[in-house]
Amino acid sequence: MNNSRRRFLQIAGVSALGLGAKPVLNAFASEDAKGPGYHIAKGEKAMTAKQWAMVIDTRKLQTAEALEPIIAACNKIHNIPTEIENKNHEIKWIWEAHYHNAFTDKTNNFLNEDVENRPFLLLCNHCEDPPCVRACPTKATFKNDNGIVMMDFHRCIGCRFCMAACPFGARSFNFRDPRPFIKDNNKEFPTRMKGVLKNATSARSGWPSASSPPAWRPPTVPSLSAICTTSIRKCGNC
Amino acid sequence: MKDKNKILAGLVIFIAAITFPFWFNLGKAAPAPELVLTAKAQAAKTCVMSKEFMTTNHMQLLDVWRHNVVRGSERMFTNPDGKSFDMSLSNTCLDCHSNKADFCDRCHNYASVSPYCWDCHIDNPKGE
Ligand code: SF4
Ligand code: SF4
Repeated sequence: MNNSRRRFLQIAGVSALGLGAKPVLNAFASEDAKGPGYHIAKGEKAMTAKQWAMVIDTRKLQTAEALEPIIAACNKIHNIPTEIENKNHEIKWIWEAHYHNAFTDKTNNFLNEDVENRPFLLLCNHCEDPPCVRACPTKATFKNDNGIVMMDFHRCIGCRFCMAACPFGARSFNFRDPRPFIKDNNKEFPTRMKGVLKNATSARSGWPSASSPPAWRPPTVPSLSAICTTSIRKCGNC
Repeated sequence: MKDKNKILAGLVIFIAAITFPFWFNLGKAAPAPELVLTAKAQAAKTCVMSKEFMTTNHMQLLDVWRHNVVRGSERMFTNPDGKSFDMSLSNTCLDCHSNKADFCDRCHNYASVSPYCWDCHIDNPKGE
């Protein structure tokens, strides 16, 4: 009696499990059989590289005024909040720096004055072996196939390890919702949300954009390279 | 067991209170929202995938898009009919569906979901 009752319960249990598993298995099977039928690939015009690099001809940018339109264009294209007054909350993608801050390891007592007093454009270096990527615990910051150091905002938890790791100060934290501080929204480019990090990653719209089709580039705002029609900014694969 | 009546009365009140939302809303199911298509969306006839697929799977598809674009630099989506699209929420989806309030929000509010797409993506690329 006791035995057969246990047996009954065992069989009932296994059958219930089987019945429950059937729809799940069916779902998997049907997905395999039919599939959604779409195909995802890189764009036809996508350019690839082992490591994109950009060179700025600093001889052509002698004054702070010469840098201004370049900085303004970058800010506009990428929806950078320029109206934040508190310096601690500032977001920087591309900025002006003094020689001593730009080339900390290349100073000597007898520098060419012309070079020493020239303003320099700084932005994320897209380092070959980026400390920010090594520091990021969630892989929100990563190096893509083309050597660009990218930010995946969807994954960033706002821990700011990358900010501490970057030796070049190229990371800014969105302490505030940036949207109210953007003068002129570029509607084709996302803004950021409070609590995520930013490096000048998407300086890529001025690059021979590794992955973006031209549609990504706003038609009304000249991209950085369009402004620098002279050879101030050059991009290439190294 | 002298307090039997009090306990029973208390129980009745308690059950009435916690079931209040159910019987209060009885027979008043909110009607499913009607989506409004823009003229451009209507003219296009079909979305990047079939309507049925988009209704049930748009969130998964958007997730695939964002992953492949950001992490894999893959931006070209080709649907089963062989038509290609740039994988971009702001520039492809919202190009037709430029009426977020009447298209996205109606259903999302009805289903009580609040996707955080709009924290970063600007919802009205056409400025209409
Ligand atoms: S954020 Fe800093 S560490 Fe990271 S790639 Fe840019 S310059 Fe290098
Ligand atoms: S703040 Fe974001 S990107 Fe930076 S290390 Fe943390 S998770 Fe990574």
